[in-house]
Amino acid sequence: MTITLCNTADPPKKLDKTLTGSANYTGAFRSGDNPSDSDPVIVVNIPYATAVSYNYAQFFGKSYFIRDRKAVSANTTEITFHKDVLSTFKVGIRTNSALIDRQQSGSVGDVDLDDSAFVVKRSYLDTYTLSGYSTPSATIVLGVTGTI
Amino acid sequence: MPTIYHKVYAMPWWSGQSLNWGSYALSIPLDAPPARDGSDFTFLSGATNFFPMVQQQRTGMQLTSCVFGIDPANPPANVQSDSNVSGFRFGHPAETPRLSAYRVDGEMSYNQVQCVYVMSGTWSYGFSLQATGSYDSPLAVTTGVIEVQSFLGLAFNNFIAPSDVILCLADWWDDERQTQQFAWVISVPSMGIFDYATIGAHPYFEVVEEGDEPEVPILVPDLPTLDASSAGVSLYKAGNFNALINYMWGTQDFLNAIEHLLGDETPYECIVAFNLFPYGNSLTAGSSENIHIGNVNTGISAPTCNQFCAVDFGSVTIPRVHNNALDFAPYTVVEVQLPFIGRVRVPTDFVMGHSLGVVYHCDVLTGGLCAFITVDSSVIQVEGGSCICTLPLSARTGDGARQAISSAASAGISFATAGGMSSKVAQVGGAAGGIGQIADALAAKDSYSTFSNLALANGYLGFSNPVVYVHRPVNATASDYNVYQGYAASTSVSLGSVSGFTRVKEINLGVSGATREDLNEIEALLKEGVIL
Repeated sequence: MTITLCNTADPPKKLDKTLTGSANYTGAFRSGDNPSDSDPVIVVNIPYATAVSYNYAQFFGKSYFIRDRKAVSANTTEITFHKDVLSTFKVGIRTNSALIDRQQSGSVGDVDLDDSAFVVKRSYLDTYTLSGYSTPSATIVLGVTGTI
Repeated sequence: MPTIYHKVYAMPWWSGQSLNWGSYALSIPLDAPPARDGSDFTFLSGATNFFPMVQQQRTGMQLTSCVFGIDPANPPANVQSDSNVSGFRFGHPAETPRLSAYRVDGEMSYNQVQCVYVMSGTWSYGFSLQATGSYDSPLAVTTGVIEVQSFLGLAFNNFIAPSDVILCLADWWDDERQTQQFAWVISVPSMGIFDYATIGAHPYFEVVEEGDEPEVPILVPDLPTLDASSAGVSLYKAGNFNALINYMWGTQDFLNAIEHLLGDETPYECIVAFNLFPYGNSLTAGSSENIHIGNVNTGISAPTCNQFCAVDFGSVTIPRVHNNALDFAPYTVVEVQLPFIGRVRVPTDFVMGHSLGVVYHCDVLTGGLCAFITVDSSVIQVEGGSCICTLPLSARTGDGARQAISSAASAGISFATAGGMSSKVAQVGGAAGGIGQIADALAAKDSYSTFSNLALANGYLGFSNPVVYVHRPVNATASDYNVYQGYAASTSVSLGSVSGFTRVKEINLGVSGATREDLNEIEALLKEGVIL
């Protein structure tokens, strides 16, 4: 089977990954295995020194992280893959709706929600006077009982 | 059945097409009023927002009444008072477009001369039309002022009686049709005029369910009307009472003249109050009268005054600084230093971004003080204190004043809250992460001394105006934390409509072609946070 080996510098949790340095190679599932869809092990016809230059792969219409490499022979390397479910199913994921509790955009997030991410230091004092601020003039008040 | 409120927007009322407004109004036979009189109508609040217009139609003075609402974006800006005619001169500069009013149907089919009816409930202005025009030659609206008085038979510059209502929107329940009816109503009882016109087209209105009705603000109450003057106590205000003191101590006439003393008291017991009141400029002086002590007319005059007065210190809008949750509790604390009371805390969430005001109601006889703290004119908090400085007339009264101050000092803690910001932080029970950590950190910080024990003479030596103190935190959160953690959110979104860091709280995930293990892993990753 044909395997496309490549590289990505994007975080693993990013759905849309940019792939570079793609190259196609031939390979086969490791003999004696029941091939796994999630964590396949494939023997690829490339030297080990070439295999270490890749960290990502695409085959059978799916995307995979390279988890491990083992040199089998001078021109053969056994590579262990793990399915990148986010990139593989990114189209289907985006068709779903969800209840979210954190979002990068201020227009989606609510900045007035209390946020455990806040970090504060110290405090300072603001003072305000009211619009009717004035210097009052005192007066003496006499109260008496008696005839009016 | 829930109470239903209606908010009605602009709706024209068309009377007869060719009728002169005056003749229409006067055509109502006074002895055969319409089926409904004014008592059946409820004049809707906000109806004065509708400006009735007198619409010029065809030629001459044929005017048809109609009513349009106000386009909030284009209020009639050219209304100005005219001292010569004691009314509003309404118009616009010739070079600007004719002022238009907002209408539901959006049509403006006639040349219009707008007029304003001031529905103050006390009086209304009339207007005079100073020029005529035609359909093809509209009125010179730069001077256009409608003389409604001539239509209603009122004298020029005459005021309409307070009970008169000009063109208000009203509604009533029509038993026959079992439906709410809306109508424009003109009611001039002084002229024997009442008329109404039901709105032909359906007005736009909103039905507001019970619980969603407009809020009714709780305003500062009026001062009491029953006071000590009804019990024979007279109050006087003056800068000094030296003449009276000289009279009492300097003549034998005073002692000889006092009769009907109570018990074994001295005549000076008739002096029930001799106080220094700090807000003298808020205490309105009445007419000057002779001071009577007991049955003695001292011949010394002084202005009288009421027992109660209101001192309005105005308001201030508490601005937001951080524009996020740090502006609110528990991060920000708002306190008000109240004269004669001390420092009191107000709920930050209520006042932030709103207008905070203080009004004192004072009793100059007893020194009783009631402080109303308002937010947007609605009372949210009431505090009590004592605002006078008792002036001694004798050693005994002086001792009493000193004891009162001492008692106030020991009870001062009840007048104000103590402690600084640390004690104000509400401990969030079971809070995970930052909120609880911040609360703990603030609790460990220093508190500071109180501003309390400020009743009586202590308060007279202190602040005479309220001061608002706002304790604000310094935000040390990284400016780009939203890239790594996202802003707090509580909403449902389509994941295809957002981008950037997103953390899902709950999702019913379905993806074509994904196994159950795939779905479990995808959901776990979404709940940790992914970059869409």
